[in-house]
Amino acid sequence: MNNEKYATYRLEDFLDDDAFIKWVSGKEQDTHVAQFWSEFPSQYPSAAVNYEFAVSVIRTYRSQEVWENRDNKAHVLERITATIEANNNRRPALIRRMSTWVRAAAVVLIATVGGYLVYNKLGKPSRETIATGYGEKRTITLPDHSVVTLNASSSIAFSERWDTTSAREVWVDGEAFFDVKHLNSDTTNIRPGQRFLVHSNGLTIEVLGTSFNVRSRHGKTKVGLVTGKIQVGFTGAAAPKAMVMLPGDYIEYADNHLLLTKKINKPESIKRWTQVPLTFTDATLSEIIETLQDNYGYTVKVSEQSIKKLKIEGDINVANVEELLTVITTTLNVKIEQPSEKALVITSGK
Amino acid sequence: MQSESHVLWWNAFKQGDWDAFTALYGEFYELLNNYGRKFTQDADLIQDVVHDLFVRLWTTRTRLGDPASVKNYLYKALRSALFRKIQSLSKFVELDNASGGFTVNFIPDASFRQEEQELRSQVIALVNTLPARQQEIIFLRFYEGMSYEEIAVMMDINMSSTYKLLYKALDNLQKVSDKRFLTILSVLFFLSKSFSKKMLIPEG
Repeated sequence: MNNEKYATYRLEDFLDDDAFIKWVSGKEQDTHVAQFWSEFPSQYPSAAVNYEFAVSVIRTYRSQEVWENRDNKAHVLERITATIEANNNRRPALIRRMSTWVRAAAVVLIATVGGYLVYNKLGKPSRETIATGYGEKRTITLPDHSVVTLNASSSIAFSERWDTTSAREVWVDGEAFFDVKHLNSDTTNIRPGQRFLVHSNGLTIEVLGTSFNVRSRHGKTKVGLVTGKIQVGFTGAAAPKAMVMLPGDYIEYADNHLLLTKKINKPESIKRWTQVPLTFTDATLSEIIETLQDNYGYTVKVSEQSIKKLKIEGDINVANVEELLTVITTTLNVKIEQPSEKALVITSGK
Repeated sequence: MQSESHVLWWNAFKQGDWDAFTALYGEFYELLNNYGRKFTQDADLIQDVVHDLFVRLWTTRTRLGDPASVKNYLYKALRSALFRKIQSLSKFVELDNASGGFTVNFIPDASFRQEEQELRSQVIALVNTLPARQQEIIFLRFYEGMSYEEIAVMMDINMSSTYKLLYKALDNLQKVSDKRFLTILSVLFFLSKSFSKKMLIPEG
């Protein structure tokens, strides 16, 4: 699908593109096509603005009331059945003898069992995307009741409906902590519907019932495992082989390379952000600046590069940015000025 | 494009399989109600039409063909049945959308970022000014994700008029967007990208 024309795509071209429309309205079942569109802005940066605009216009339009009239579903079927019966058309006697609500239950059961038997792919995977703004955090329950905590300025996408025959799949941009519900404690015998896959910027995490953290920012993805077991696979031709991670394992990955693999002493610490607004362990000023920019939308300037290497030993757990700045200025030999609400200038010396 | 189970159910139902028939009902009931709701707020009317549609499906099952998309076939059948019903009723009573209206109810307090909220109110305001047929095209295109060809079949119009109607609507949308905030949005977008890509450190 690599094509010159996309580089100069205008808003109208996007809205006119059947494949794009199909993807953005969640009807695309081909994962390769879906991947092409999700990676579009990085593949064709010149058309990224128009792409984003087209996506937001359509997503905006799509957030509308859905009227399913479920309360009357059984009742309307009953009326249909009665009318057909009155017209003397043949119908299996079994259904005719059933009481009203058994019949309603039968619809659900048939739909479910029928779906189970014949669905190879999801019937109609409406894609749900949840995004957080700066300074915002959200806890999301997935269709299988697994719980995801989404950090600020991050997004997660998944199909609205998960069936039991295909893998549970989610796509993460930014940082998220997963507590996955297992469907099978026997990890050597996992059926497709029990698989749980997390895709994030060039890697896929296969979950074997577990809790872990994934953070994908600036093209770099960091994965840390708290409990259970996961397998991490990497996409791309030159990518390394898949690896199995155990509790406390931590990796950093970017551009087809493993940058770092290490063991964390306190695996629990990587999920602390889910409970405390701002949390760091042995953090450098550089890491803190990154969080302020990524999660809170600050612009941070430093007087000289070297001060970014300054490190605050131990744990920081604070409720807000103001407290964090106080911690920095009291522990490090730096001065912080705030020329405007979302801008900081850090200089060395008091 | 077409779900395998839909085809299986459709074929079995045509052979007189009642379970397949109720499976189709179970699969499409909600979608049909939601589509019908765009034309009228009258819940009883929609239910009547859904009832009539499925009764007719069953009684004429041996004469039915094999649609390219079961869903689109049912949508189209519901649409024309609903129009007929609304027309016949409007001879006797005043109906809210007797002239064939199309209304989308947007969720008022969807929590978006501020710039998205702004875009949102613009899009909603704009969509609401469009004539019913253009609104329906927009719905089928951006909500149901249909191709032009599917829309043309659904609404019984030829391809060129689908384009014309849609372009008219998009043109309106883009004109407003361009002037008021396409630029603002692009700036915001670039800013947010550069925030995350660079550290914004002055050289030296």
